[in-house]
Amino acid sequence: MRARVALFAFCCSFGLVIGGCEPPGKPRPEEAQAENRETILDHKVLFNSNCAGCHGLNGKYGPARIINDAIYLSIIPRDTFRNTVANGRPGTAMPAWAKSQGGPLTGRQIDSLVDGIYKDWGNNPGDVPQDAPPYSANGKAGDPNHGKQLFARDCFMCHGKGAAVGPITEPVYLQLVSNQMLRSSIITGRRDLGMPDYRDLNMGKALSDQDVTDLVAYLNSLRTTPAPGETGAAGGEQAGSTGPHENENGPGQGQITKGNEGGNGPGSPQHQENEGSKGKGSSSQ
Amino acid sequence: MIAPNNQLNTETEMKGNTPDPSRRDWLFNVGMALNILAGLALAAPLIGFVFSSFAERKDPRSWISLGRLENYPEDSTRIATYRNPYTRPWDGETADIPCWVRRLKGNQFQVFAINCTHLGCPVRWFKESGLFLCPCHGGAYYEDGARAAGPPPRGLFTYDYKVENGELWVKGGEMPTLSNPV
Amino acid sequence: MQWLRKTAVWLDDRLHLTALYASTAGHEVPASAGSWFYVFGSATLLCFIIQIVTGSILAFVYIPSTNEAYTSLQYLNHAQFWGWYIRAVHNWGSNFMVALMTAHMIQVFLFGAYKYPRELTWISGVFLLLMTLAMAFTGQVMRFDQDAYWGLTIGASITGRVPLIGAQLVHVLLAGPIIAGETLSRFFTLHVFIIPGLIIAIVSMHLRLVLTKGINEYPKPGHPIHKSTYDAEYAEILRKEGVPFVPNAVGKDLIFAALVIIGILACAFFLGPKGPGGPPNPTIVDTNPRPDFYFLAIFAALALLPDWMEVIILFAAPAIMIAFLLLLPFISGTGEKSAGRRPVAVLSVIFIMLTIGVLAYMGETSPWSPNMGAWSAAPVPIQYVRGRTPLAMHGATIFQNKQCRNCHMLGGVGGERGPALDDVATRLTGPEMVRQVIQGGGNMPAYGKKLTPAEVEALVAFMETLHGRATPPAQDAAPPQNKLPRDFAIVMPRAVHASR
Repeated sequence: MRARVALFAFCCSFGLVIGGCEPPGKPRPEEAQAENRETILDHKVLFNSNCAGCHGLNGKYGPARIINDAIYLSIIPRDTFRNTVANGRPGTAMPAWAKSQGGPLTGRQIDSLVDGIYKDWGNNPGDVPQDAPPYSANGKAGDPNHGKQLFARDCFMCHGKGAAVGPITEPVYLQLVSNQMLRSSIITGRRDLGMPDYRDLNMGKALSDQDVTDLVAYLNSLRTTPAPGETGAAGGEQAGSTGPHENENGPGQGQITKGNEGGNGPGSPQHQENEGSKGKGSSSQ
Repeated sequence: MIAPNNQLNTETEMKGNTPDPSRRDWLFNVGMALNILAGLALAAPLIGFVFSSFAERKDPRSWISLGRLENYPEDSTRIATYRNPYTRPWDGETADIPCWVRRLKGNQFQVFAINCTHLGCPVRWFKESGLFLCPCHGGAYYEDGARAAGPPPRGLFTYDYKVENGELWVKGGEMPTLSNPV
Repeated sequence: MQWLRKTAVWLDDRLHLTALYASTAGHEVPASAGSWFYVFGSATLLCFIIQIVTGSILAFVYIPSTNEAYTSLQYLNHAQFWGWYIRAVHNWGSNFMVALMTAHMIQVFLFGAYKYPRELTWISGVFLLLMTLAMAFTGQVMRFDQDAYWGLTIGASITGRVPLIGAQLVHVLLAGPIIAGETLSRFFTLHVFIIPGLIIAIVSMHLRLVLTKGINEYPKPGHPIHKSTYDAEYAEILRKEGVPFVPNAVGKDLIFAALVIIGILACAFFLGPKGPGGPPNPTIVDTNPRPDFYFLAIFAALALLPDWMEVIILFAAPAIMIAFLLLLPFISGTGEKSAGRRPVAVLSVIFIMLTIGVLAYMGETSPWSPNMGAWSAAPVPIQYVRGRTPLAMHGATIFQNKQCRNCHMLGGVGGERGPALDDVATRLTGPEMVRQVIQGGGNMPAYGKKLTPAEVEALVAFMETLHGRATPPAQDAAPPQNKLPRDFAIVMPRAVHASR
């Protein structure tokens, strides 16, 4: 009797193995797909492996710009955002990620990443005021003197010399950040780290577009070197050095367009020398 | 050859059966000599087949195009891939060889082999820090290929290159090693 | 039944089976040789037989062509009925074979079995060791994936360091100037025809020597070997306590053999085959080649050796080691056999095994390799961001951007090539940091050309805030900093957000 039970049990387990249940060691069919990083399109995976280092896990709490911020995503034009990811911000710490610029990501991956970021973090209309200052100053000149007054009123508490958070008026700091970065930061603040956005900087009264422009103009006036990423007006002497600007299909398939004339201004940071092509078109300031 | 001969003699002597030792010896010696000749005739092509690299010393390299110059912006380092000229119909994807192309100014290039000079692993370029890093033992090279840190005994191997008809050409076709740096 | 008996007698008359049996399986061994310590040799042979059988079956499907090998491996894994399992058995069989061979060698060494008159048994065993390692290396190439491809380049690069004829040897190894179609054919021939043939030949000699010179008796402390007396002593042992190997001494071998087979099958069933990893496409630069575990120790040694020593260690050390193993029975061919009276032998086994083990562990973890993705994937720990000045925060961005993180850990994440920098401010002053960053040194590249003065200042401002690994703030603060969360959806704690 016992022998028959044992035989039955054996036959059952054998049948299970042959029939339905997969042996634990059997390779899964998905393993047959070759590991190829270029096929990854999940924006979360892409963000975590390429962006989280500087912009923080989940787009916050990183040393670089906050990305997980509804105001930022509502003011920055999507093509500017995409262009920044693809081509970087020459002169700043933001590298280019597009394959054509020597980066690791394909055009599709960048599209997927940008779409995912807007979908996950940009869809919070209740958090986004309608009157936010525009992303770009649009070439408007600011009034540094008015900006200086605003700085004393709204920023000095934290960013004056010797103040709690730390100065942003030092030339050394200003050498590292672009005017656009200053503008975006004033508008969005760093809500993850405790810096208010433009609505709260002035004791609960919102800063206007002109206020922000003036503040940036003031900070810009403190610079001892040209702002990074700005193409200097006297760039003619380096005009020949700008490489051609390609699209993102990689070498060989790229449609070649002639890069805009105008190199970086004299004295611009030397670490640009390997940023790939840095025509004016890719700096998107 | 001598040992079996002696053995044979002792054997025959033991059996007390020595009809014609000189004729026997002659047959044995001629037989051995013939076999040695035949064996050499067989061995020579076999050894030549397997160790042909010692006999044939022709340069396996040839000029290969890496594409238009426009693919390589100035002051930048990009990866390029060429089809190995020393190729067999059944090579498959192994014959696609990558290399790092650094364009300085104008027609000034440096084309680095992908292989780390330490043990041949593929070095990877990091443009922000301007370093090539090797995943195997952590060798590091500066952007000009010079050794920066780690176990590599020298800088990166560089290909000969030329610029013709708006294209970049390199002389490739051999795996670079310390005894044969491209 | 009469005809059966007749046939048996006829066969025995023609083939001398009884005599063959009596001189092999039935040969007399000391009863003390029926020990659990004496089972490793037969188990190694058993593994070899399993390898031959499974290997032959795999060759029904496997295509030794650089273009097709990878596809045929995928076919074996996913399409061929039980193909994955045979691959797994072959892979685990090789692991077991190397492990059991090592155990056999250690046992033989510690039991003094290499001493007079069994010198040749030991020497043929040394050759079998080399052949088995050659099988392991060529077998790794058969699994023709990324690791195999770069393993070949490592092999070729090592060969290329041979003085004078290095270049030609590389061509011989790769069957051409570069890894191409003929390379895999060459390794296939070695793995499937030449080396197994040599192993069969040497194993035959090894077994023949066991028969002619007898199995080593279980050594007794205080009974040193003398060439003049040993043969008579052994004959005396056989006369007094000799038993036929089959059936009297084979029991433990049989049980162990069954356990080995079950072990191999279980490992194959539950753990599956190894690889193949990514396709053998050299243009996939984003790869991290590692050898199979047999060679991890060598791989590690190559990372740790100073470069002036490398050529010496690469070629002189193996030559000396092999020469030592071959000469061992002539160096200490007589004397004490028992491990209890040979402290140097025991200590050297422990030392060698520990060295290999530690090196293999280091090869597995590879602390010297940069963490290639850390700079863009490992977030700066929040406690190093919060409360920092804008300049220091920008410095943290520079720290990531310049790939410092690939070699330096922060908060337990990052490369291990350089020291962790969580407490760098307690070790270096600001000016010292500036010098180290700009000039490099101590195995660190110089970054002077890649950083502007302002960037250096920002970077140092950041590092000056690193006073030791902050204990993560209690309950409500940070997510785990030690691991990169796989799930992007891990949301930052609300409390922090609300605290503004």
